[in-house]
Amino acid sequence: MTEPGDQGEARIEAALSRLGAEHEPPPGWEARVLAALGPERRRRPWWVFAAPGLAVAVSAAIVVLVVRPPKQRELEVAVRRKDLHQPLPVTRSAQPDEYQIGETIQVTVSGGAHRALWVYRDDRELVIACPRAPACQSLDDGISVDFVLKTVGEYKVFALSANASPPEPSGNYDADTAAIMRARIEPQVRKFHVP
Amino acid sequence: MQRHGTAVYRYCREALRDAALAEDVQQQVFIAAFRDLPRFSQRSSVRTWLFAIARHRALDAAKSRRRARSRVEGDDATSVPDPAPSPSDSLDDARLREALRLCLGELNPRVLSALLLRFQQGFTFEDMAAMCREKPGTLQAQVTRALPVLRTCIERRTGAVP
Repeated sequence: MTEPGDQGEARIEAALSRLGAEHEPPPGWEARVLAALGPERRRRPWWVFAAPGLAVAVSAAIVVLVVRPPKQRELEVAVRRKDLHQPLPVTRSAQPDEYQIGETIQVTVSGGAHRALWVYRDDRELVIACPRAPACQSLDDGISVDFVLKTVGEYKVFALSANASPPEPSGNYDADTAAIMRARIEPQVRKFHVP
Repeated sequence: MQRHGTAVYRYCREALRDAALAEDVQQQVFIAAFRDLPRFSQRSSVRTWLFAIARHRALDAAKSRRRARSRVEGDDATSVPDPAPSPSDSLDDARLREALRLCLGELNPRVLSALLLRFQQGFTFEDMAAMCREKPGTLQAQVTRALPVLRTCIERRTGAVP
């Protein structure tokens, strides 16, 4: 059996549950909340403002470290005897830049970009030109060619590197060196002598 | 906002018994909720989280108002007129509601808050414990003790049994 006091409290509970049911929030309260949030939203932590700058810096670092090609190695040219087992004439001592008829010479150009290699003899004869000559070999970072010294004379190796393809040699020494100058290419030149 | 706005407003309205102040607190609740949304841990429901903010803000507002009134005009509760006593012993719903509102105004704000959360908003004592940071048993005891106090108050004010 329900006590009168319990009934009263049940009525109070029911009245409490309905309390305020007739009230609605004033129209436009949501807009006022959002309007008040405007300045709050502008008051953002420092990293929100720094984020675009950081993103640009990170992107630049990625470009510099990853996308950008590695710095080019300086252009180098090396001339050496190919067959070291071949005995040199004992009648005379070989000078550092002096080779003998019949020796196989290996010329290697490395570093740089868009490389070319010309070998002229006595400023007249184009002995070999890479990369077009069949004997030329393409390396990871250069080109190399072996050739046999058949004629005496002063040999000049022109190692060329250019942003675009270097000029093709015509076989005319003066014309080819002029073409190098026109292309604003500074060649590495190595000389050797075949007595 | 739309989903919980009305309930939060009604809670604030009854907790503060002041429409303008309730509107102000309701807006503060949602502004605070938007601002703290990234920190909302989802350990409780959004509704529980919102009412935890609402309870806190309403208690702060009630405290500020009480201090202001005590400085300016003294206790306002005594100036609220009682509803006219009914000649009959039965109490209709309208008179009960009016008397209830006056009696709720006499309660400690924390007890009032517990009653509203329990009966007006239908929270469990466990939910209330999470938002009030008190034990469920403590809140249940507050509510249980408050009901006879309200009944006595209503009888005194109306001269009738609820």
